[in-house]
Amino acid sequence: MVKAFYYPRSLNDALEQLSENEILLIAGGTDLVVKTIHWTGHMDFNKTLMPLSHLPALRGISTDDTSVTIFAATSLNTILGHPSVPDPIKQAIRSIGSESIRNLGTLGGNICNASPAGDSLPALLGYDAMLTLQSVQGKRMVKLADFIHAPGKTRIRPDELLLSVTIPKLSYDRYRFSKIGQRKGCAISKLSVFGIGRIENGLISDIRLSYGALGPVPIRITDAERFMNRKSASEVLDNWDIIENSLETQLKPIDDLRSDAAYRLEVALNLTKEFIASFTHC
Amino acid sequence: MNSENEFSILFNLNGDEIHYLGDPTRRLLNVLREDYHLTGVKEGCGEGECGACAILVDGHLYNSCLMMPYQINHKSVLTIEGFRDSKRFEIISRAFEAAGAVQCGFCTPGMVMATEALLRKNPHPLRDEIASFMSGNLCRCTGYDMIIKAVMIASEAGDGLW
Repeated sequence: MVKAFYYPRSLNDALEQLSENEILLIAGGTDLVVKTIHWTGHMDFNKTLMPLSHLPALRGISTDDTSVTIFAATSLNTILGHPSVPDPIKQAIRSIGSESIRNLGTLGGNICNASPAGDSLPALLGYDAMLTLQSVQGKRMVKLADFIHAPGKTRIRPDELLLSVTIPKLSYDRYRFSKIGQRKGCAISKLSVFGIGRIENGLISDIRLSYGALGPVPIRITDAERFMNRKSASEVLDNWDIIENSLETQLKPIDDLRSDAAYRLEVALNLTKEFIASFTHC
Repeated sequence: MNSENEFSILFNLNGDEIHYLGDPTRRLLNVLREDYHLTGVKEGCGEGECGACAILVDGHLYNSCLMMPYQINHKSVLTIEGFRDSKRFEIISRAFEAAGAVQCGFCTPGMVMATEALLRKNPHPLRDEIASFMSGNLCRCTGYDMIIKAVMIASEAGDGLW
């Protein structure tokens, strides 16, 4: 039996409750319910449960010339149906769960759940996503890259909630999101690789490489990116040992029920190489 | 703090207006089966992966095992029991028979609801689109080929209905 349940009437109502009480926030619940439920079907939440998905102030997508802002409790399928959300982000979101899970699950939930295998996260990192957190005291912005610091752990304060996620409209010539799971549909990632970049005068430009389920938190490998920029794909491939070294040092895959560290690393390297090869002949 | 352990919601269930008063955090799956005796909503995995508990909420596919009553407040819920008197059910049902898409039958209500959700969104899906849309519905008997075929038969036979 739940200790208590509070159904907020508005965003302000929710923020006031958060400032006064110890509360467990729930959006779609696709992770939280599975984590909490007993085999009998009963759920025990150790704090007051407060749902957010019904609040209009937390739903929807707004866009201007340079960026797209997705409110935290927008369902994953709503995001897929919106014309302003960039395709690379959509491709990552489309790989999450199944149709029914994407109807329930939210982008804010995928971020705050902070799973190393959260499939929206590598793409959002590649896009330098900024998060807006809100409390009764006001709003503050945090980079996604600084927000998740350990598996399931974020820098959100107990009195805050995630209001929205803002991504810039990047121009790109190549992108790829590769997710490796036990099967194509409805699987949790063994690993994922996201890459996006431009081509300028035949050279790689503004490349971003990020990785999921290859360490305690999804991660971008910026020194490998810097090495690749202003080089041709073939020059990068000729110096592949440098990239390999960088990835091997910074990716920290583990052995677990879904895969093992050696497989994860090897496949991540191969997928990265494939992505770089897609920059040749341009 | 004004917290509630009895929670009141209004929703439409298979065409009937319902007032639910009770635990806000019971699983919707249990509410549908135990309170309203809608046992066509099956529990398979209980964690959102198998689709045996699939229902439509405002026309979209959901897993009732992951939901709680507050999530259907002021919404319309359709289960296999409410869907079975429709022309579209008849088309899907005949297509499943024709393709041999039913063996033990446990996944079938969920498969039928997923088929309805897919055809509402996309009346003439390609094979890959069917496989992708139905990836959240598991069947341990048929091997899926017959189910995919059934959806294609339904799509053709019900042309203009969706």
